Amino acid sequence: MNWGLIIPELYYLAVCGLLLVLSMVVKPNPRRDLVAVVYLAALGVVVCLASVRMEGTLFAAAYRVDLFSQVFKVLLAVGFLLVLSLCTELNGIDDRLRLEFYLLLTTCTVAMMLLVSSAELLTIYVALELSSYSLYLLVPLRRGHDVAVEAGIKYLLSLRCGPYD
Amino acid sequence: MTFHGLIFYGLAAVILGATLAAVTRRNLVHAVVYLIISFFGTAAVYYLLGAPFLGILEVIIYAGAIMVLFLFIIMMLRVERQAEYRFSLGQWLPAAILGLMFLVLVALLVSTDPGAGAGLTAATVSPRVFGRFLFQRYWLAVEIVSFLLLIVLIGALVLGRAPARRPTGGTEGDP
Amino acid sequence: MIVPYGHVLLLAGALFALGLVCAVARRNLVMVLLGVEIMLNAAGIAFVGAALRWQQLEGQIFVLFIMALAAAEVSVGLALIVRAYRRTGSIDQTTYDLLKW
Repeated sequence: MNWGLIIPELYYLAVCGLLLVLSMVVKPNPRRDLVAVVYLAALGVVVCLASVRMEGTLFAAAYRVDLFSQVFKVLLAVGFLLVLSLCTELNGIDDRLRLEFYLLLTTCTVAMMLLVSSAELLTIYVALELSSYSLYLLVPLRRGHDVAVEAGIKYLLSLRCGPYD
Repeated sequence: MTFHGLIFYGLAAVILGATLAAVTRRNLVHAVVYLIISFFGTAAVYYLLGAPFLGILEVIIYAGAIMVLFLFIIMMLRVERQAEYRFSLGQWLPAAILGLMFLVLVALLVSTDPGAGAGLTAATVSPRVFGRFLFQRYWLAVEIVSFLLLIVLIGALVLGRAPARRPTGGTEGDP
Repeated sequence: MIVPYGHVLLLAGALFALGLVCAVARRNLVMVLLGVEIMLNAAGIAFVGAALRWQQLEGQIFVLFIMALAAAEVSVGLALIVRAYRRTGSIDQTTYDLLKW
C-alpha cells in the first residue's frame, strides 16, 4: 500500500493525536496554544499543496486519490487555517477546554478530507458521521450559557431525525 | 406458508407489539424494558434472515449496552417523577396521522414493486466469513468508526463533567 | 423460501413509523432518543432483508456500522440530556424555549 497517497490525512491525524495528548498533559495557555495550532494548520496547508498531484486508489478501491480530491483537501486545509485564525477570542469556553475545541475542529477537517476521497457508500456515510459528530460536540462546549446546551440538543436531535433516519 | 414464515410472522408481531407498547408508556423504565423485548425479537429476526453474528451483536450492543445506558441515565436523573401526565390529543394526533400516512405509502410502494414478491431463500453467514469480508473490503470504514468512537468518548467526558463550583467558569471543577 | 421480501420491508416500514411517532410526539427528551433508536433498528431490519434478497454481504456490514453509530449517538445524546437536566432541572421539551423568538 502506498502510504504516500494519504499524507494529508495522516498529518492531520497526527495533529489530532498531538492535541489529544496535550489536552490531557499540558497546562492551558490560550495564547501559546492558538499560535501553536495556527502554525500546525499552516504546515498542513503546505503538506496538502505538496500532495496535489498524487493519484491512486487504496483500501481495495474504497479510497480514491485524484486531482479532484486533492484540490478539495487544499481548500479544506485553507478553511481550517482561516477558522483557527478567527479563534483569538473564544468567549465562554474554559481555558481547559480550548485544546479540545481545536481537537474537534481538526477531527472535522480530517473527516471531510476522508469524505472527499472515499469512493464507497459505507465509507462516505461513516466519514460524514464523523464530521457531524465532531460538530455536535462542539456546539455545547460553551459553559455558562443555557442556549448552548439547548442548541446542542436541538442540533443533535433534529439533524439525526432528518437526513439519516 | 412454511415453518420459517410462521416464525417470521410471529416475531414480527412480537416486535411491533412490544414497540407499540414502548412508545405509549408514560413510565420511562417500562418503555425501555418493552423496547428491550422488541430488540430481542429483532435479534431473532436477524438470526432467521441469515445473520447470526448480527443477531448476537444486536443483543450485546443494542439490548445489552444502549438500553442499559438509558436505564442508568433514567435512574440517575430520577426522571420518573417527571412522567408526562396526560397525552393531549393535540400532541398525538398530527404525529399519528403522519405515521399512518407513511405506513400507507410504504405499503403502496412495496405492493406495486415487482421485485418485492421475490422469496428469500434461506442462507446463513458464518462469523468467520463475515469478519474476513469486513476486514478485507471495509477496513478503512472500521478505522474511521473507531476514531469516531474515540471522539465521542472525549465528547461525552467533556460534556458530562459536573459543573464547576464557582459560577465564573471556575478552574478547579472536579469531574 | 422464508417470506416474500416485501413483507420484511413492510415490517421495517411499520417499525420506522412507530419510531417516527415516538420521536415526534413525545415531550420527554429521553423518549425522543428512544424513537431515534427504533428508527435505526428498523433500517437495520431492512438492510438484513436486502442482504438476504440479493445474497450479498454488504447489507449486513452496513447494519454493523449502523449499530456502532447508534451507540455513539446515544452516548452523545444522553450526555447532552444530563447536562441540560443539571442546568435547567427538567427534560421536558416545552421548557426549552430560549431559542424561540
